[in-house]
Amino acid sequence: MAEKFALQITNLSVKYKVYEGTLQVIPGLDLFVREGERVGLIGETGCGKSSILKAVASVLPVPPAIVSSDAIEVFGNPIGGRVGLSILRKNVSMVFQDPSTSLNPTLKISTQMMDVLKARFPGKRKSEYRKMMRDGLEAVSMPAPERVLGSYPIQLSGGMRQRVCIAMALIKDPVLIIADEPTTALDVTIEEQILDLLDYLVREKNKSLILVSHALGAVRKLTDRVYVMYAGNIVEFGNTADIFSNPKHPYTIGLIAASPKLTGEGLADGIAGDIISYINVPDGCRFANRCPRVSEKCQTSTPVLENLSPDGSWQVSCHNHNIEEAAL
Amino acid sequence: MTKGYVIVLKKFFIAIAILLVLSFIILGYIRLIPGCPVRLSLGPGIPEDTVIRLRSEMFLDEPLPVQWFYWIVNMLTTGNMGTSLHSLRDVSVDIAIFLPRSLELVIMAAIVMLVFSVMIGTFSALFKNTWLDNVLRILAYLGAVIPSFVFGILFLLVFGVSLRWFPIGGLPTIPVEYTLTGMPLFDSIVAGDFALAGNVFRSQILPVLSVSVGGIAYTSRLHRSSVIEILNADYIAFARVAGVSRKTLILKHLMKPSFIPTLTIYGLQVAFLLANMFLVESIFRFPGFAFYAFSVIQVKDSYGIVGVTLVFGIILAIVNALVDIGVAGLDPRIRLKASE
Amino acid sequence: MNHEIASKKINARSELFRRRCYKFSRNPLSMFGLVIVAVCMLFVLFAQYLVPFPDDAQLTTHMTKTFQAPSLEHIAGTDEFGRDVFSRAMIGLRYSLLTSIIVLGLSVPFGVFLGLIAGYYRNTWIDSVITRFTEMFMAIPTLVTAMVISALAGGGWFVGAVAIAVSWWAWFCRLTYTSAISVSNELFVVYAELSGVKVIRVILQDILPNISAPIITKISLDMGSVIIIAASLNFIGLGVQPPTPSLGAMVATGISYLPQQWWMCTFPAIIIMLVVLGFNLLGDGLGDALTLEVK
Repeated sequence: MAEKFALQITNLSVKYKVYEGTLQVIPGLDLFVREGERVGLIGETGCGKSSILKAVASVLPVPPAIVSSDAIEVFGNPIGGRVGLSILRKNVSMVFQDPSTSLNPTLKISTQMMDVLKARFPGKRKSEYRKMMRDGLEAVSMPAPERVLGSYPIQLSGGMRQRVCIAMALIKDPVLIIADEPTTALDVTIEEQILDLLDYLVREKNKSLILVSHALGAVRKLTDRVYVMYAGNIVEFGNTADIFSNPKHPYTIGLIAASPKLTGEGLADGIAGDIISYINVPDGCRFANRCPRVSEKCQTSTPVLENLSPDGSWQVSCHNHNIEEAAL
Repeated sequence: MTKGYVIVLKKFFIAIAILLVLSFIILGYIRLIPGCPVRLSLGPGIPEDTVIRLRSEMFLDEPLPVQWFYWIVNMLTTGNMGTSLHSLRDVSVDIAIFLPRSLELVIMAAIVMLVFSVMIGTFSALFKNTWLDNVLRILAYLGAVIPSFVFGILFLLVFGVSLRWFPIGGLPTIPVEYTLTGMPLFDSIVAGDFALAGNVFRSQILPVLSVSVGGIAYTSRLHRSSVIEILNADYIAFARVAGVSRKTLILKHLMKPSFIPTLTIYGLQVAFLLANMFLVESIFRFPGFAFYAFSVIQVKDSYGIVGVTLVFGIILAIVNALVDIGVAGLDPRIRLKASE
Repeated sequence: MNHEIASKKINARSELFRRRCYKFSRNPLSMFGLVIVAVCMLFVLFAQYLVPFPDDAQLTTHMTKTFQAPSLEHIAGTDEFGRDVFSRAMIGLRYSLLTSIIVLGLSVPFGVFLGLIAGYYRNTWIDSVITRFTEMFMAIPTLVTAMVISALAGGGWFVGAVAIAVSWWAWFCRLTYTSAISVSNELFVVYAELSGVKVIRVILQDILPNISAPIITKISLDMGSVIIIAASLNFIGLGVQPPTPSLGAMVATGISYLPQQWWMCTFPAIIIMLVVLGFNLLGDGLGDALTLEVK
């Protein structure tokens, strides 16, 4: 039985041409999301998560970005070209990091939602659109949807704006939702609500989801599978439960250990050092300068993803992933 | 909402008050020039009692504050703005004759400027770093560094003298019975005399173009960078991913916010437009307000100068108020803040 | 310890300066602007020695040489009195530049000073007095104010320059005021104020350096704008009085000899264009380089 992929990326590369030279942000990356699957993408700031998502959504500013890939397919349809773009726009939605900048400050919420509906479901009557918008806002448990529709973004709080964004992302009935750190800019108390809402909506309507978040707890709770990224590369991916309980890549181990716990063990350790510069990327493993298990081989040869499980659902890219913690 | 208009109105009245203070300073300054201004402008052949009568009519024998006070009271009660020594008519009569002619040009130029700068700026930004953008940018750069009088001469030579498409200057005479607003094109259209309207329009085209080219160049450059900034905004990317159609995105989601900074600069450019009328009217020998203003300034006619500066100031204040209202209308952030 | 920090600060500053110079020099247009401006400055200082016929700047006549087309001897031809158009234009350019320098020399210190005071004492009576005072000079278009003043006070390039400066400073005041207000709300200024640093030091050390970029950019752009305004003033017969040459008046005279003696009008117009272009390119380059910050 052939598996159905909501999204399949093969050998995606993203470069940025800047004043200092060319930044090799994503050297070549494969990623897939099955239909109805919820996938997490974790890694520290600047590792290229947003670049991937924006490249998929075709909203990276070109130039300075240079995007190339063997294939990016949404339900088997390549996204390039006019037809591909319209399939992409129909099926993929994205929720951005900062709700205070992702809504147009000069247009009413109703206008912004209406323009999405008009493009997706053309030729309906105004009252029908109005009802769809009201239902869309009620679905994200927005109090007083009529009042919100008549408001400008500045009149809404951060949490309400993010609800509006989620409503706008869902209103066109997409198959895949990309959530790029949807709660980073929000208060902790609101964060929980928004994540629960997202979780509920995705499960309820059987959507596929890519969730990028620094809140590892949320990723653990919301997703089936997780990709770990470091400096533009996937260093490990597999089932969420496996990765969190038994991480193999030294970066994953460090990342999970660094997430603060509420158990009173004090501050987490973190990983020493900085992410490498994307100009003149050296040969070998991109994590070598910070890795506790670094060996000679890591400086010269670039590791590739190896199977950890026989069916290839769990893979890691590290020369030394077999070394036991105790041996350090 | 209402409070926003109160702020705009308040600003407008402050501007008027400032203009009245300025008129006091101008009247005082002209008094410092030695010699009797009436005698100087009428010449020695005029009998002494005429001069004395005119002097007292013009309150020149009173102390300065009294003269100023009478001038204001006179203006508010009868609408008279003092006798011009240049035309020997009341300044308000002169303004009524000359101002509408120029005002029509200014309004036409302002519309031309707005339409072209927004169009050119948007195209340039959407086709950023293509040959089209580069050509438009070079033209805009050149347009902004060439003085308007050079454009005037250029257009006069090319389209007036060489190609003979348009008259080389002046303005067709408008019959007295047509006079309604004093604006030649408007009046002749209202009177139904389309042949005359056509001629008037032909004589207006070159002045309008030469006075607006510089403003188009400058404003379109600014609008380009404003559009580019908004193009990179998160909410445009979000609207694109959400699936808003390209046409709606450009005409609504992009146009509205990018026009806010442009509008402020546009207001300033309209002010420049007023001043540049001096050059263009002199090149095209256009009998307009700047032409009149230049005459009264040269003969140091006190009420004429005060009246002319007052008119320029009021137009500027109106333009500023319109820009304020426009910005508030476009930007809910400002509108909501003002009504708090 | 303190010494170390201080030297680090200096290093960071010189590094920033180096990067800014580099960014500026990488843009060929900015360098082109710089060259034009440098050549202009040479003419301001040494126009008398650089032009072939310095005497033609005055009321000399060479009846045998009138209306000569451009040639090797007179690269821009001669005018109705047989005077060398190139020499006259370059000397006229000198007056234009002197006008710009006087206008900005008067209006920048005055406008920036008042703007800083008003910005620092924002929302007090000092602010409103200065703001009203500034608005008074912005109430009428600059060219109109300059015309009225130079017509009433008499001719000469210096009177013309002062007449332009009378309303020009207000724009610097406004720019400084708005920039100063946004900087004053920054935490480092608030912190300096709270820790009891003297007002004058806060203004000079914390506020002024942080708003200098837009002011410097505006100065360069305005050098060009003043040249246009001054040329416009001369064009309608105010400011510099004949026989002293001025670019605007040369264009105005040239019109009556068009199109046969095209060089009389064209050459001064091209000079105006080139110089203003130079200052604009320089200003844009400076603007780009100065907004560059250390990462």
